[in-house]
Amino acid sequence: MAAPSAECENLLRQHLANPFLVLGLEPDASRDELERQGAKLLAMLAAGVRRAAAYSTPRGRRDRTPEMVRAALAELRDPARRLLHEWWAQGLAGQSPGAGTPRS
Amino acid sequence: MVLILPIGGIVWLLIWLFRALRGKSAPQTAGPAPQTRGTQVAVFQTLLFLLAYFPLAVWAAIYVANRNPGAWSGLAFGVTLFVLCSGPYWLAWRVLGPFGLPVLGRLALYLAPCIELESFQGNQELFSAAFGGTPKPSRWTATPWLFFVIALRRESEGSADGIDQLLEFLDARPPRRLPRRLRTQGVELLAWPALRQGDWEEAQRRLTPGRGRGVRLLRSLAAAHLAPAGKAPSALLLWLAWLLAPERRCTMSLVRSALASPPAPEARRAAAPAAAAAAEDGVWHLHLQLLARAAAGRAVSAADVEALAVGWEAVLGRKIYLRLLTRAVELGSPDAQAAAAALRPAVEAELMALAETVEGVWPEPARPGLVAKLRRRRLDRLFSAIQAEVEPFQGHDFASFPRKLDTPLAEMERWLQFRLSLQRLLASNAEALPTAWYNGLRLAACNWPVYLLRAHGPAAHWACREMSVWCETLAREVGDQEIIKLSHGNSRVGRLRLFRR
Repeated sequence: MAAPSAECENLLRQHLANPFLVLGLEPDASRDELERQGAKLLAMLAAGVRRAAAYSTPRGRRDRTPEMVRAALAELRDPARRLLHEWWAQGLAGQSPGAGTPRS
Repeated sequence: MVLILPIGGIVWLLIWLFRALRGKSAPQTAGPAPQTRGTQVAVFQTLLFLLAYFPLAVWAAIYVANRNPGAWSGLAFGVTLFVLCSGPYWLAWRVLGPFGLPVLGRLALYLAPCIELESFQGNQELFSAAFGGTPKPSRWTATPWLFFVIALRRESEGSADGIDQLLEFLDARPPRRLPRRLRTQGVELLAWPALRQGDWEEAQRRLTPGRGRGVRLLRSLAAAHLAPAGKAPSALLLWLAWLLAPERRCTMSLVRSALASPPAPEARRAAAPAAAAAAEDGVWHLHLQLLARAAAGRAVSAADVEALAVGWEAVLGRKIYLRLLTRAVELGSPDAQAAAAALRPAVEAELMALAETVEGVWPEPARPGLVAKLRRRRLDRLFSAIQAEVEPFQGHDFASFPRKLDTPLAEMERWLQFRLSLQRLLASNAEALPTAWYNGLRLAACNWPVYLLRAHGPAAHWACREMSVWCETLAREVGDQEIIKLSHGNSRVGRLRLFRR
């Protein structure tokens, strides 16, 4: 058996923590939508709403924490970072990356 | 009274003890070498043998001779001695340890006759690592016992690194050169975590260097799960192996489950190439799938990475770049070109991480492109892993050696990692050995054991011997007569302390 690769594990974790997956939004979501969704999730997590505590990824459901939501919002506020996250999120959603109609 | 004792054997034993106590078996070092110590003797256990067990066996022989003036006294002597010598080990390792009585087990080991201190301490440490208690060796010196201890400790902490290093080491080592306890129960202990998880392939891999009845049974069980339907061991053979093996209470359920669930090779093969999934799920999903496999330590083949790289090459074309550029402008990126251009290097870096995990041969691709680039960079990184260890040895002798040598055990672990790195390089490209050898590998391989011996003296004898034997093997493959001669001498521990600048 090969040794588990810590680098690949980190990369996988980063992909599964894609901000669009964490926020549960489509990659073409507008900036306002993102902010509203972030605020909603933070409030739900603070109130202990169970369905907010996990999100879907291509490799199953994962835990969602307030820190992850804040980090996702911060990432998406940077246009260059958002571009990459959008591209990955579109590919994982089975859409042709870059082909969507932007709303932001 | 007719007393027939194996006089020859007793005399031989006493001579061996005398030599051991004098330290005559210690290897000699020339020049200003550290003081040599003989084989260190476990004083209490030796005295216990000489003053209690041995007289008891003689008494048993005399008693039998008095009661039955036949030729049974020699047999009585042998049987008593065997029971007294093996009994405490059996009691500790096969009864008290598995029953969860580690304190009593350690006590039984304390009463077990043992002449060499290394063997006594090794038994104690390995027992603690296997059945409870923290191993506390007085010195983490390099001995095969402590390698097993470390591998078990790492395994319990969730890391298989120690076991991989140990197996790589044992792979090139005749099992008879290991203490018997290690090649039997030591190997069983390595395999048990995999057996409990039902990972039969891993269990089989870990059992490969083992010997003995217990190992044979576990190997048969693994074969029963893994072999194709017609080639699995029969039920009769399995039960026979179980009957002969120790710890039958623990293994009975395994035998039953192996017989109840016949092998299903098709199901196991399903885990094979992921490349076919690329077309169906898209290259993004294949990417995640391969990352997940590498993260879990499962095999990622060169073919998988090639399929992924070819998929990415098709996706990351000029068209996508222009789309990303447009989108970057829409998002208000201050440097849209840089933002769009960042994608390809990011994907390539991830592919590189995956390529790093590929085991085995990666043939030269037919045409240049991303695959060829990945293969080349992987080879560079494999060479750099070797070069990082080789570097301190180049242009330095022992006095000016820039790296502080750690304990013999830590150095030996480091050396095993170095061996694994070289193994990966050679598995990837068989022609790499001469290149690495004449780029400094010969210096590191030859001088490392010598420096270690100089720094730590007798505590590093075993490490020096093993490292020099490996160096000699490599030198023979390359045909480097000078290093063959030096390492052959060094492998005789300390007799020659020659090194190359």
